[in-house]
Amino acid sequence: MSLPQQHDSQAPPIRADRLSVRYDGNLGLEQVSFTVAAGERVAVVGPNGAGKTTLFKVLAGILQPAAGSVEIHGHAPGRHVCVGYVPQRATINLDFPVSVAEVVMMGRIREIGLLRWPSRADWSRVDSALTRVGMQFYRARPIGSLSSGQQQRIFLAQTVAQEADIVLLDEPLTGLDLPSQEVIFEILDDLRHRPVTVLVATHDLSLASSHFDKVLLLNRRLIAYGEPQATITPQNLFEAYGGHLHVFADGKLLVDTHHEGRQ
Amino acid sequence: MEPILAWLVEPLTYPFMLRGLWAALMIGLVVPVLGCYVVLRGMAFYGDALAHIILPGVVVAFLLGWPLAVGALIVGVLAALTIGGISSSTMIREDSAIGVVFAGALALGVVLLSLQRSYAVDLAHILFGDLLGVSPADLALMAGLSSVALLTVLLFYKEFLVLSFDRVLATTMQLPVRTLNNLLYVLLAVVVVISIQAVGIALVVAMLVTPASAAYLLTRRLGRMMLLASAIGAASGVIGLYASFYLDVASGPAIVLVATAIFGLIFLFAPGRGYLWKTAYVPVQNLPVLVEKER
Repeated sequence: MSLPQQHDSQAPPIRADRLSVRYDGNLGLEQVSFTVAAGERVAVVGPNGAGKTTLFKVLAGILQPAAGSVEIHGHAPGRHVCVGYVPQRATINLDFPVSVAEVVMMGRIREIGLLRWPSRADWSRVDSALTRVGMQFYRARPIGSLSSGQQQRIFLAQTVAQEADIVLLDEPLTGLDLPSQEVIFEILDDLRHRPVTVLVATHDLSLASSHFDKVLLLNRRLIAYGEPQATITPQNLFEAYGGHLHVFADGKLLVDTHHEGRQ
Repeated sequence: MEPILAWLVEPLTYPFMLRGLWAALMIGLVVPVLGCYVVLRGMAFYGDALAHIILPGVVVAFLLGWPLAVGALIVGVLAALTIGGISSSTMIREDSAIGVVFAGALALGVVLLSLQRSYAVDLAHILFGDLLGVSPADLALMAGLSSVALLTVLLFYKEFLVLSFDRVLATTMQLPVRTLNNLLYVLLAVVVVISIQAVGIALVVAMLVTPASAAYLLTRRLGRMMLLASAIGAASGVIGLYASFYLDVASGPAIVLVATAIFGLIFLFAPGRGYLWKTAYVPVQNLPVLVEKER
């Protein structure tokens, strides 16, 4: 394993420049350029198949760009352990026999290194990460016995234990009730001061406009990027969602998320 | 007390029984540990196939007068890497790749074996094991391979845990995912080779899957699951060997039947997760835990 990349302190946490990515032979992302500043919280919005997950995988160093470039703290991704990526819940086997504390400890696996066991200091970081997300009383519980919202907090704690300063959350709010969503945002507010830069893929336009610094509207191409009021406009949304967007007489918008885009 | 002790000690006065007991104990302790990964990652077909793939290696080693385990090990490791290579570099799904290599190797092994005169007898030993034919050299090789397998699991415990739980996280954390996967496959080949001596090619999958599945019904922690699977495997080995001595039945199938019986009991009566428990009681495992014990 190569050593983690040093950060360029002058460079922004995330910079994408005319980034194109192929996914299963198709063009998943096309000429996407944007910059995210330290501590910013960005909602990544777009129909299914718009390339939200693809974008996250490139930032996490799992997929390689086909053209253009992406930089994490001034360097190509792939050798960074400062990026915490929480994929959609469906991709993880939650019947696996691991405790909450063990799941959080997984965030420290690179820091601990090969052929070594977690030290007492590692476990105390796990405990403080769990306290940070308010789950310190659940450390010995099997991960599968928690509710979706609690599991989401555990995976956030994992990125805290990882000491990630860029956190990518793929649809963390889907299926959560409002109180659970608020808890997640309280944790993100707390992390912002470290500062942790957060990208959240979401379908919820009202949350995107009320709880985020910026909105990145994506449909293979970058439709719009900036402050929520400037980004979430009927015209931009129509461009992103096409015919699956309904504009009501009172100006309210409804995105038909069941029939949108290519899956 | 006296008659029970005599009953227990009597078989051990035969050197071949003593060696058989050591082998059964070792296999019972080590193989189910790797079996936990097989169960959790849904690799039962892979384990079964690996055992059959090893046949040509065993036959060739027999023809050359090598220890059978050496031939088995070479073919097992080659097969593990070939299957990994086929499925990661082509459109062919892993289970199909396993099927292709599995059938081809088994056919080759049977053809090689049929060139031998003592075909029938040897095939039975290879298929169903020959615990009482374990030589001191076999025992030493088994002990060596078992230690290597256990030590590797211990050294890479946290990496194998992440890899098996969340492959995306393993990739994000920049772990050498492909190397670790191949290492796990090679370890599986090693323990399959160890267990062939006891239960034979046809029943290896039982040592991999049955104790680990029973343990999975009893705990929700990987470490404990491994310890329990080990205990169940060792108990099956010892009880099965005694049963084979006193009932005069083949030792390999006896061990597998004991393991199956233990699984059956746990399946029915496991607290909280057993079949009878689930039908008779409301599960309590989802109640909130207010006070947690220290680690």
